[in-house]
Amino acid sequence: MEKIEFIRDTLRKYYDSHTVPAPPSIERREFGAGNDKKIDWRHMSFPAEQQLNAYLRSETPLYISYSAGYYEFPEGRPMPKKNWLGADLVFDLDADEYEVDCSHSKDLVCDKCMNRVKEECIKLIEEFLIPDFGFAHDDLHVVFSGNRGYHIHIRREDVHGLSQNARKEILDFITASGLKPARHIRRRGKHLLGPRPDDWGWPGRITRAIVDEIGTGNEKSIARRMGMSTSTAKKILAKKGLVLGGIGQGDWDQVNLDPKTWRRAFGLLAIEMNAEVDKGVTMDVSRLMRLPNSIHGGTGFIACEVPSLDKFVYYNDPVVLGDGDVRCIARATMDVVLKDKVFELEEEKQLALPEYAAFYCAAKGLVSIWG
Amino acid sequence: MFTRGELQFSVKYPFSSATKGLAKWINFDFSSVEPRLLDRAKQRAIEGIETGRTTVETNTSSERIMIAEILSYPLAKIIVGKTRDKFLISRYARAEARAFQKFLLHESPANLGALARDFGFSISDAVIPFTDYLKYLPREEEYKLVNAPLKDGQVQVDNESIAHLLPEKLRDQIEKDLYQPMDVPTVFDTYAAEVAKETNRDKAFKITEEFGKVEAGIFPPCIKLLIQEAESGQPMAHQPRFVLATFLVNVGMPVEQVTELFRNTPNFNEKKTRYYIEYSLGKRGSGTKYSPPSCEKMVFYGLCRNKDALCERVKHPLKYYSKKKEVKPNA
Repeated sequence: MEKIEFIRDTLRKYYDSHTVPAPPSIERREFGAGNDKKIDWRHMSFPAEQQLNAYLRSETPLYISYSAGYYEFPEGRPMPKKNWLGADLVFDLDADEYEVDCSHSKDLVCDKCMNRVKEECIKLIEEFLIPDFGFAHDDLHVVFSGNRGYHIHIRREDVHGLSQNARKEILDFITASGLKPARHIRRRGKHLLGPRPDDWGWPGRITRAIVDEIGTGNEKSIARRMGMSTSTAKKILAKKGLVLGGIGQGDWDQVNLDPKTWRRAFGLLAIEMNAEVDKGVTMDVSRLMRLPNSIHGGTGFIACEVPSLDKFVYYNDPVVLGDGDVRCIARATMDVVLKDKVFELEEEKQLALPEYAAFYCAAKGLVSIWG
Repeated sequence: MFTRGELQFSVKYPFSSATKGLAKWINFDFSSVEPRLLDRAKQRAIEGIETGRTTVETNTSSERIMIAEILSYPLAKIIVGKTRDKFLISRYARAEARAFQKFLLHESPANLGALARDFGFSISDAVIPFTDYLKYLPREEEYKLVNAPLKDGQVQVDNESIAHLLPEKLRDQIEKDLYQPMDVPTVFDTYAAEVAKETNRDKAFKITEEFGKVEAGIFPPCIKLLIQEAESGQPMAHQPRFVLATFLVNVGMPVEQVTELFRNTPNFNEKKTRYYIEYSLGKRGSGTKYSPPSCEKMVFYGLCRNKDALCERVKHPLKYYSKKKEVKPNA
């Protein structure tokens, strides 16, 4: 059997027996779908859940996406005719954005890179979106992308009207781009003033890190994290109590340092503590995102909402396809883990795989379908 | 009835709710405006566009002068709007915003609060929701959200930041107002034509610094901002670095000098930076010479910032530079 036939048959079977819930305000959303690419065609709209599911059953695209944006006329084209009404705030975190030394090809994933993207996602939520931006856990819909990343959809009404520029500001905040150390550590007359640990936003965050590092670090770690010489670090440590006491009051002058030294530390710690996200996606107010609860045609995984990132296991939890045997021929030699089972592929050897594993491996080109 | 004090307040803040009853009080008639009032309004418009800030006579106790000053605001708005010229409109809106800001910076907390309410800001406990803050973010780099005290979705504001936020909203409102169709007597068209003709547009562009043969003063605003960022020692991501490096080498700045520019960035690495720049020149790697991205891509990367009037007419940052080089103002 041809791979594409098997994939489409399997998807159709799934959509025939399941209902994909409509995203909120479905009638205002633009949809896009694709087989070869993630999006081969777009500018579609569905009035309600029923029509969306009818489409999935009859056309069965490998990928289906919906707009973060809300439009008066979601089918209108070109874009200005749609009349943009607003957009959810979305973040896209994908494993291939991060520098991780994985040995596998770009198509595949491993614990290393999937853990990295998960950590980054948790950092974004727990260190920025909740404490700084004041979102509640309930505002954040974390969705597995169906392949190797996570999307966060924020649908709260007060973010709908944010312009592209405003979204850029949010991103710049999260990535610490444009942070001006010289604005926060400055000379006032004879005194060098700076933030206090309980200040809001980045200045406070970095100050807490500096206080923590001086309080618990040694010359070497201070020199490394704050980008100063060990002799400077020594100077600070020699007056540790005074320096920490001073910073607690916003007085950065207890040790005689060039303000540039502190500013440099500021910049370095900002880079260390920022979160990395795909900038294009968040800023683009017309972006199409994978439809939650649809099946990713490149893996067979469901793009499911993730209630707890900590507990989410990317090779178990999104497996929803059936487990009837499918006869395959391996095209590579490797172990594939799905649903806590190890499938040992040996090139050119026949084997029977449960449907979900056959789908995953066929889509990734690791097996051909035999039966 | 307006007291002298109220009039003085309105001279500074002719758009405030406190000014609302004035036109009725003096029986102002749009269909027959005295030429002296229109002349003053025209002067206000041209001054704003050319110098970047309007000024008003605040040191007077003459009711007649104060009323002319107040009326010059709505009249100038109509005149500038009637030019239908984007450049003039945006420059004028900016000039009024800057004048507003100058007054606000010396304003009493009570008046500041009242004006903030006029502009629909609910300032409770000196914080505003970050969504409002972003909507009227002052264009000065130092007010970027990343530098602001943000916690639990609220930005702490002080009198100084309010004094920066309100003018942005005024600017936004003026620009919006001036694009609306206006049903006014034809005399305004005459004045608009005069403003369009008599304004010295070149004065609006300020030309200052020089980088050797390379004239930094005529760099597009997006590049100027990147230079400021590099020089101020803040962390820079890959994309802005690439844009800045390719732009500078393309206008002929020597590799040495470009490398120097990045020296202040906290993650500076001389060897890497040099490699990078030589790479964009095509001296390394594949040998392809790189150009900076087009304006469209700059928008996508979020690096198209501080757009000005010329930006509307070019599609590439390099084109902006070459266009400005052709017509050298005051040369």
